[in-house]
Amino acid sequence: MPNIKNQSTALDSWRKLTLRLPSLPLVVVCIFLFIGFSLKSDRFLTTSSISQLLISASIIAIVGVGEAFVLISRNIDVSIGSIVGFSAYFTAHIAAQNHRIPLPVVVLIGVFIGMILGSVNGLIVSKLEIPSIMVTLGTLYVFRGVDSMIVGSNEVTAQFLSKSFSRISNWTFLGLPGMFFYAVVICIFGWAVLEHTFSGRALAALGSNALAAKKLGIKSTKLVFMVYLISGGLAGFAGVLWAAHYGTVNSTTGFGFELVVLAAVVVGGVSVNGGSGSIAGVFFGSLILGTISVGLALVNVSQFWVQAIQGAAIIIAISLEVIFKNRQGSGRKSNASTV
Amino acid sequence: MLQRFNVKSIHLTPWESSLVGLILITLIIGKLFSENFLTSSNLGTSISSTVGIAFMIIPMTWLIIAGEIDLSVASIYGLTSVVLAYSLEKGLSFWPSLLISLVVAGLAGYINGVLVVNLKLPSLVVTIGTLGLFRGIAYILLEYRSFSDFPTSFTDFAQNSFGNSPFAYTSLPCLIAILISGIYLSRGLIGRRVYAIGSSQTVSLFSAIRINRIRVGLFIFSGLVSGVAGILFAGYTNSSRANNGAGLELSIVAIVLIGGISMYGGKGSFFGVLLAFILVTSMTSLMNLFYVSSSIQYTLVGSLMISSVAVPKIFSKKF
Repeated sequence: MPNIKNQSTALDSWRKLTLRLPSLPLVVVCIFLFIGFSLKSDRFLTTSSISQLLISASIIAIVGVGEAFVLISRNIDVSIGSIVGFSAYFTAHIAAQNHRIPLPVVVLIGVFIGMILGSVNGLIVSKLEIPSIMVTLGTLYVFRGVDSMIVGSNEVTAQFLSKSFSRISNWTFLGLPGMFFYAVVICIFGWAVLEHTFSGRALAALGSNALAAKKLGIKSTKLVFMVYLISGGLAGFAGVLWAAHYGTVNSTTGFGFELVVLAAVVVGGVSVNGGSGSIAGVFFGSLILGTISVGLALVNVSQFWVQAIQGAAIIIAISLEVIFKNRQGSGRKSNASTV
Repeated sequence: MLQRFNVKSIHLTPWESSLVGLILITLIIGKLFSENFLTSSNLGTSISSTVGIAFMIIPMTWLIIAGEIDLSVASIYGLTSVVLAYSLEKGLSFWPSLLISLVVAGLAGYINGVLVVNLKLPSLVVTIGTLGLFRGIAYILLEYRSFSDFPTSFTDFAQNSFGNSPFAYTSLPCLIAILISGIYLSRGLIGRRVYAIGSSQTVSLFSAIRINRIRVGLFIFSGLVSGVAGILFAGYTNSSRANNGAGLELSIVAIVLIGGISMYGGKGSFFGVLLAFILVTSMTSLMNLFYVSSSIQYTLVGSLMISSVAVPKIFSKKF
C-alpha cells in the first residue's frame, strides 16, 4: 500500500528534520498560534499587538534563560517572581528618588540586587546540598515578604519616573521593541555559554549524571552557585525592564511570574530531569507563552484562562517529553542537547 | 498493648525536644507580652482557623515520607470550595454539590498521581503545573466573585464549637483523623510501606509492595483531604473565592519539614509534625495578636522552613 509508505517516509523525514532542528515543532506551534489568532481577531496582526507580544515574550525569555540553566543543572528556582518584583521596585524607587543617576548605574543596581538574592539561593543549595525546591519555595516567600515589609503599600508610578528611565526599555529599532534585542542578545550569550564553553557542557553533564560528573572532576558546588547567580542576575535585569516598561511597581509586582517562566522553559523542551535543553527552545517557548497571553486578551477570552493555560502548558510539555522519549529510545537525550 | 502508651516510653528525639522548647518559648513570650494569648477565646480562634492546615499536613507528611511532594494542595483547596459554590449557584442542593466537589478534589489528586506515577514525571514539576491549572480553573468558574450563600446548617457546623468550649465541631473529625493517621503511619501496614517506598523504591518493588498503587493512592488522598479542608474553610469564613488558600502550600510543606520529616523521604515521625504544627500555629496566633502583617509571617515561616532543613546539614558537616 503506497499510501501508508508515503506517510511513513513523510514522518521519517519530519523526524530527521526535528533531530537536526529540535525547535522546529515549536516554530510550527508558533505559526499555528499566529494564524489562529489573526483569523480570530483582526487586531492581532497590528504593530502594537505584535510589539506588545514581543515585549512580554522578551521578559519571559530573559528570565527563562536563567531558569533553563537552573533546570539543566537538575535544580529548580521558583523564587524568580519575587526576585523580579524586588529588583523592579527598588530600581524604580532609586530612579524616582534621584533623576540624575545615570541609567547604566540603575541597570547595574537591578542586576546586582538580583545577583545577591540569587546567591542566597545558590549558597544554600550548593553548599548545604539541600533540594532546591525546598530552598527556593522558602525564599519565594522570604524575598516577597522582605520586599513588602520595606515597601508596605507604597507604589512607584510612571509620573515619578524620569523619561530617561523608561527609555531603558521603550526604544525601538527597525520597528521592533528594544526589549526584543535585549532578549536576543541574552539568548545568544546563553546559547554560547551553554553549548560552547567548558562550564556549559559541564553543567549539562552535572544535570544528566551528578555522580559521574563529580568523578570527572567537575566542581558541582561552584557550578550550581554560578547557575543561581546567573538566574538571579537575569531576573534582576528583567525587573529593571519591567519597571521601565510598565512604570507602575509595588510589592506585588511579578507575583506568580515563576509559573509563566517555568511554562515557557519546559514548553521549550528543557528537561525537568536535568541535563538537556536548548536556549533556542527557551526563546520559542517564551514566544509561544507571550503569544498566548497577548492573543487571548485580543480574542476576548477572559484573563482568568491564562493561569489555567500556563499550568496546562507545563503538564502537556513534560508529558510529551516523556512520551517522545519512550518512543525514540534513549538516544534522544543526547540529540536534544546538541543544537 | 497499653504499656506502649505509657508516659515513660515516650522519649523525644533531640529534634522533637527542641520543637517542644520552641513551643514553650513561644507560649512564654505570648503569656508575658499579651494578655489575650493564653485565653480560651484565642485558643478557640486558633483551633477553628487552623483545622484546614491540621487536616492537610496528614497527606503531605505521608507524601514527603514516600519521597514525593504535592505543591498543588492549596489550589485543590481553592478549587474544591469554588466547585461547591458553583454547583450551589447552579441550583443544586447541598449534598450533591458536596459530592461533586469531593469527586473533583479526588480527581485532581488522581491527575497528579497518574502524571507522576504512570508517566514517571517528577512530582515537583507536575504539581507546580497543576498548581497553576487547578487555580486557573477555579478562576474560570468563579472569576472575581465571592459566593457566601451556603446553607446555614453547614456554616453552623463549620463555625460553631461544642458548647462554650474552645473546640470547634470540625476539630473532632480532625483530631480523629490525626490520631488514626499518626498511629497507622507508624504501625499500620500501608504506613510502613510508605516508609519503605521513601527509603528505596527498588527495594520496595522487589519486596512485593505495589508501589505504584500506593503512590497514586497517596495523591488521591492528598487531593481529597485538601478538598475537605477547602470546604470546611469556605464554611468557616462563609465565602468561596477563587483565591481561597493561595500560598497555603508553603505553610503545609514548611510544617512537615519543620517537623523533622526528611526531604529525601523515608524518615521522620508524625509526632514531630504535630509539634511543628503546634509551634507554627502558636507563632501565627501570637503574631496575629500583635497585628504583624502577613508578609512578615510568610517571611518567618519561609525562613523557619529553610533553617529546619539547613541546620541539620550544617551540624552534620561539622564545620
